[in-house]
Amino acid sequence: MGPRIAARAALIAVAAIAVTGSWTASAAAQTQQAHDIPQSFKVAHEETLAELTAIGKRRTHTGQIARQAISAVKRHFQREEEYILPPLTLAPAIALGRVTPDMKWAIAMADRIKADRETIFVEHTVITEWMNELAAAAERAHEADVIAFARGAVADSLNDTEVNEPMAIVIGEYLRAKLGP
Amino acid sequence: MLTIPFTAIRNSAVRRSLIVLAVAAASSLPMALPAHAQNVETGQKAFKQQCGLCHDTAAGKNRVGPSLFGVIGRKSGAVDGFHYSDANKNSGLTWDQATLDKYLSDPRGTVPGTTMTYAGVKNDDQRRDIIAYLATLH
Repeated sequence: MGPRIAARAALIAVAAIAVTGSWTASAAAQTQQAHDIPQSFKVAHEETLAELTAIGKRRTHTGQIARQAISAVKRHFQREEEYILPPLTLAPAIALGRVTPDMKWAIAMADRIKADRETIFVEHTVITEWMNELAAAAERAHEADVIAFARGAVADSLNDTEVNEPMAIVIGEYLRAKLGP
Repeated sequence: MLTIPFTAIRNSAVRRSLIVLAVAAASSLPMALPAHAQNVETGQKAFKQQCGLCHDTAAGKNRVGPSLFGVIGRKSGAVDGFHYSDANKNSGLTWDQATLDKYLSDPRGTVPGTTMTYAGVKNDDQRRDIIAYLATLH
């Protein structure tokens, strides 16, 4: 399974390069400026990486799988922090009815999420495959904490697919409707 | 010169045809019969590794994915208390061996828009075994 997941990860990398290559200069310029992400996600990402790193330090099969899985998780978190999660920082203000022209940067990010939707989805499937492998090894080794970690990670993946990514797109569309293209 | 009566030729041809049909039927028999114990056992192990993180097999116990108890014969998007994507709810699929085989080989390709973040079981034998195991959950 490991090599298969690695091959899939390589495909994603190629797809990401292709997408980046076709990205227009103006849109890239708008998203190049780094934007913050909601604090709850910062904490969640830090904790997930810390936990996976700690599992990776074990001299067990689960440790070996965790060390392999971490690059896929980091790559996905980088993508999320670059342009998926920043629009969500605007949600509280928008919910209060405040829309200002300086929020326009989120429109380009939302467009980028839409363009990359399938690549993002495949990244989630790669993480699911790693978590399946991690949980199966953890079950054989009776490592309940690792199983709990894997369960949490797949729940986070579903949360991204069900809520966070669509919400970021909705924010972008709302801003476009209010502020113009 | 030996002459074979027409009826005998016909009978022998019929007999040959019957033998061919019997062999063909016998060779396809395993597909039609219920899954044998080995398939189910292998399928249970494969299920645990491929599906068990997200799906429970106990009735009414939903996780990130819906409970797969009684999945065979069920309409897609029909488990009480589980929030499905519109894609899954509206797929119109009823889960049987054929639809499960197709879905499990490529979930997103079969039901575009599904939120199941799983690439699919690409190994045909493993998929068949998993479905054989799922068929026992009722």
